[in-house]
Amino acid sequence: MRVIKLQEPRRNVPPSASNLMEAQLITPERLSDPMEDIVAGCKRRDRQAQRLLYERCHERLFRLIEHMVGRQEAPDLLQQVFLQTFLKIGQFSGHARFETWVYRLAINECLQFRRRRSRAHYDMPADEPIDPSRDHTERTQQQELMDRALGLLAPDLRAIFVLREVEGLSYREIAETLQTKEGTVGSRLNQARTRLRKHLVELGWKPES
Amino acid sequence: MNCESVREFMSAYFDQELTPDQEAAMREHLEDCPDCAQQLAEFAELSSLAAEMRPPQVPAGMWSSINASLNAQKHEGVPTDLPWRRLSRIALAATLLVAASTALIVYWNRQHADEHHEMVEVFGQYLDRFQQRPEDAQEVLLARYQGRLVAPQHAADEAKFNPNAPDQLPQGFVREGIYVLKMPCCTCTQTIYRDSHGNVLALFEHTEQQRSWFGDRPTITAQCHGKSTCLVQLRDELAACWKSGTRHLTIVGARGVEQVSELVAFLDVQQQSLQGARGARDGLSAIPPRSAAKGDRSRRRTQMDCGGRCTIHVRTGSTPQAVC
Repeated sequence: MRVIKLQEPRRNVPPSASNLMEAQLITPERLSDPMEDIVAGCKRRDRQAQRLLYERCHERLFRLIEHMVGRQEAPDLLQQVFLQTFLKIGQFSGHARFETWVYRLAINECLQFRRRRSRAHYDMPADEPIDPSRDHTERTQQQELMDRALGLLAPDLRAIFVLREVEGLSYREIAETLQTKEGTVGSRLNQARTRLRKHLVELGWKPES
Repeated sequence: MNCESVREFMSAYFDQELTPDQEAAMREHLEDCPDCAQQLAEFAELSSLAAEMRPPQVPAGMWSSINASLNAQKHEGVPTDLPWRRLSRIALAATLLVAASTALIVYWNRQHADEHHEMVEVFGQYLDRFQQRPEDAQEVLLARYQGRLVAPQHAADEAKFNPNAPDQLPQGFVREGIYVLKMPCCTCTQTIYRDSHGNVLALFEHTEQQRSWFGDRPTITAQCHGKSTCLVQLRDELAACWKSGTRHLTIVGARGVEQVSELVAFLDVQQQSLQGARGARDGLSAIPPRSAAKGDRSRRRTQMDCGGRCTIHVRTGSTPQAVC
C-alpha cells in the first residue's frame, strides 16, 4: 500500500496529540474519499479532512491564483485561500459544486488582493521578472509571454479565460463561479481571447495563423 | 447567419457550448467565410498556447504552513462550537444594523452636502452674472430649479404660501414678475423688480435661512431696522438676508446699506400686514406692527455690530467694508 508521508517540519507549533494525529499516514483510499465526505469533515474542523481537501484542490487553486496575481504573490494567496476556505466552509450549502464554490472564494481573494495592491500602484504579473530557474527554450519563452499577456488583461477577463482554458470549466460552471449569467460567458470569453491575442502580438508573439 | 452573429457565438462554438442546430448554422457560415474562419483559427492557436503552459509547482512546505496557521488559530481561540456561531450571528446582525444606520447617516449627510455644494455653485453663477446681465442670471436659476413665472393671484397656490411681493418697492422699483423655484431646501418665490434706470432687484422668500447661497463671499451681520441682517458684498452691489415673521427674505442687487435698511423696514411692514390679513381672515386678531418704516431714516448713520467681533461705521451712500 502506497502512503503519502508528511515530511515537512512543523514550524512554531508545539507538539500535541492532534499534531501527532495529523502526522499519521494518509492512505490512497482516503484520498479518493467522496468530496461530500471531505467537506463534511472540514465542517467539523477535522484536520485530516482539511488535509485531504488540500491534497485534492491545492494544485488547481495554485494554478488559478498564479495566473490571477502572479508567481511572486501566489504562495501567500494560496495559504490565505485555504485558511478562508476552512473558516467559511460552513457557508457552503451543497447546492453548487464544491469546486466552483472554492474557485469563487479564490478569485474573490485574488481580486481583493489586487484592489489592495492597486492602491499602491501594484502592477503584475506583466512586470514580473523572468524565472531564472526555467530553461529558456522556445516553449518556456512562449509561456513567459503568455504570463505577461495575461497580466495585461482586466482581472475579470483573466479569470474567465483561465477558468475555461486552463481549468477547463464549462460555461455553466464558469457562470456559477463568477456568479454571472451563463449567456454572458461566451461574449466575455470572446473579449478575453481577442484582447489576449492582441497583447501577445504586441509583446512579440508570432502567431502561425 | 451573418458575420456579426457568428462572431458573437465564436467562443461558444469553439468551446462546443452550442446546440446542434446552432453549431450546424455556424459551421455552414465558417465554410464560406474566410474572415470568420480566421478568427476561429486564432482562438484555436491561443488555446494551444494556453495548453502548453506548464503547471506551476506549489512551494514545498505549503501544507505545513497552513497547518501551523490552523493550529495558531486554534490556540488563539477561534471557537468552532455552536454557541459561538449563534453569538457570531447576533454580533453580525448587530454589526450590520450599526453599519446600515451609519451608511444611512453618511448617505444623508453626503446627499445634504451635495445639495449644499450644488446650491453654492448655482448661486455663485447667479450672483456673478446678476451684475452684468440680470436676465442671464435669471436663466441659470430657472433652468436649474424648474422656475416658472406665475400670475400674482396664483402665486400663493403655486408656492403654498402667500409671498411678500408688493407691486412696488421704495425708490421707484416696480414688480416685473413672480417666479416659483423648486429648490432642494424648499419651494421659494422670487420677485423681480426694475426701476426707471433699468436697475434690477431680486427678492427671494423662503422657509429656511439660506446664507449658504453666498458661499465664501465677504459677509457681515448688521442691525437694519432693528433686524439682524446678513449683508453680503457682491462686486458693486449688496445682497442681504433677514428673517421677517416666520419667513426668510433675501434681496439681491441693493445699491447700499440705506437701500437695504429701507427695504427691510418696508417689507417688514408688508409682512406684518400680510400676517394681520391672514390672521383676520382666519378669525384671529391682527398682530400690531412692531415698528414703522418712517423711523428708519434716523438709522442711516449708525454703528453696526459685526458678529460681536468688531464694529464698523456705515455712512450714507457707501457700502460696508468688512474691515474687522
